[in-house]
Amino acid sequence: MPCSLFKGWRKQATLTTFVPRDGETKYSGYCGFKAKPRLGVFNRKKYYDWTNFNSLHLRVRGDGRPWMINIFTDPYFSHQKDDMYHYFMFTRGGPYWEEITIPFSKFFLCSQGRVQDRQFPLWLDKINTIGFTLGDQAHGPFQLEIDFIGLLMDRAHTEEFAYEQYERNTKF
Amino acid sequence: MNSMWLLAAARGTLWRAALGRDYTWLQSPGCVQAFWTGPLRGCSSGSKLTLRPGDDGDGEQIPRELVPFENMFRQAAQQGRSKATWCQVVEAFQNRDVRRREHVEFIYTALRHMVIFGVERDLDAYNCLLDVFPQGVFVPQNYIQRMFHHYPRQQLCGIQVLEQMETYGIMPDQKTRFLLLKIFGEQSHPAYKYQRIMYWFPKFKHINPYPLPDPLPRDPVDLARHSLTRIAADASARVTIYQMPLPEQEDPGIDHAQPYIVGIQSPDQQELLARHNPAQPVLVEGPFRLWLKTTCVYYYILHAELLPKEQQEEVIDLEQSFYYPLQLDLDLDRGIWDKETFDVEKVEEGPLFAMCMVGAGDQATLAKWIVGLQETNPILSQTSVIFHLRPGPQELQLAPSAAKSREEEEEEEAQARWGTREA
Repeated sequence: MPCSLFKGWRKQATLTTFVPRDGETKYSGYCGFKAKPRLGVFNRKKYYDWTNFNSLHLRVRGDGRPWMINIFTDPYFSHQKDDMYHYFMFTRGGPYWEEITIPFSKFFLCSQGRVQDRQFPLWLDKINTIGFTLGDQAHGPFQLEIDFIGLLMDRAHTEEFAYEQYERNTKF
Repeated sequence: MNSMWLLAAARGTLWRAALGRDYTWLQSPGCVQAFWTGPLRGCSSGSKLTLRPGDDGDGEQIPRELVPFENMFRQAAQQGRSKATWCQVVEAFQNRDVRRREHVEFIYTALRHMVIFGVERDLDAYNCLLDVFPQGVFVPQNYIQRMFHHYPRQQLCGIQVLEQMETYGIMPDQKTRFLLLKIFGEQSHPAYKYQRIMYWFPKFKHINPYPLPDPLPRDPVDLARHSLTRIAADASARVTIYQMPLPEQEDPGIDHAQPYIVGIQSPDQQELLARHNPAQPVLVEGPFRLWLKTTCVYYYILHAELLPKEQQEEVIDLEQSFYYPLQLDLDLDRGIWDKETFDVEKVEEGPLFAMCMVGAGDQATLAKWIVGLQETNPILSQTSVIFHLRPGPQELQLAPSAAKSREEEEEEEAQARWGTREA
């Protein structure tokens, strides 16, 4: 059957040796995968143009774990090279497939994993890759089956951006 | 963060040079910024590798501690690892010195020991810890101090406290806000971090479409009920408890403990089973994993194999219902330009008839479940049932319980080192 399966065993060490003691790693215990970036002739970056759509539609069968969807736009300026848009995907678990729709207006901007103060909506005309991350602190095996990832133009969804774009570091 | 260290180091050299030129205003008591002649970054306490002056003087060889203040926590842990003993250590530190010398090291050590004492999800504990900071000293007085990250090491420490709260998903409250204002002032990095937490946490608190009760029910039958209603994906599904758990001690006549059997079936599934061809066998498959936060439960399913297209027959008898038609042949399709469905082949799977969760995943228990299902689905008595059980968690004693026994071993080791953990 044409669907993809991502499974493994997320190992968490014990109470005392939770993180590898190399002096710089603070957190551990996450895994993920992402799509291969499209490359053109002479390894030029090729981007997806998703301007005709406003939602991401997935048909997945997870095991109840919460995942995070990452969209990487590979921006032009090197200051923004770690910028990525994230949102959460909660799987129900169980034997039934579920269809998850996430509008692009819900994706928030992070850089190196830190949520940014100034938020911008996702630019849909230059998408590079999409990926999934599992970071819940549950030790044990995980499994995620993806039937397909599609794009949807949900005409009932009129929200442009879910987060406020005005200056937020105001006086306390 | 790196820039703050550089600034701090730069300031250290400036002061050393300044002292050489005898800048009296820096040494005057009017100067708010405290300074010392040693290097600014890294260890400020020189007594890491020596016995602390406050330790027992009765000749007992207390092990040298590599981590500052670890001995205080170790001694408290001997009395039991709980919130009360952890707070005792914090109060002991607060009472021993009004100036709270080496409070930054203490706070870092206390943050690490929160997990050991089991208070990492307790907001009061974090507020107690923030109380350790001396209040008013680190508040910047003018714009230059604000620009140059006034007391960067203390601010970093405050950020780490809030970061640990963020990692465990604990929402700070008004007391945290007032403490941060008193300690660091309005325009400081911990205050900004508090603002960020208070902005993002409420936005993400209720986005889970399948929320779980907090805390999870401990009774396995209750837990099974919750998880089965979750995975059934049907509001009209009915949960049936076929067998309640009975431990061994209750009835000495029974040799083995009676495991629980909780099943679920929706009317759609019942209908599918009623239409199933008795000549085809049904399969009991499992166990499959379901994660509820950090708890893993296992469920079994009753399903039939997918028949090839030729054998799939759906005969609709039009005379079954005279009041409304069961089949309509209307050409109401959208045009190709308006189609909004996905042109993807969906994964084909056989029909699913019922799910269950059991206390012991052996064939005998599951057979009891099938017998229970026969009451509402009489076709099961005519159909052959095949048990396709993978090595479940009971059989996989070597793999997950190797990990589990390792966890138990480490818990014992932690107990030996730190004392027992009180509930």
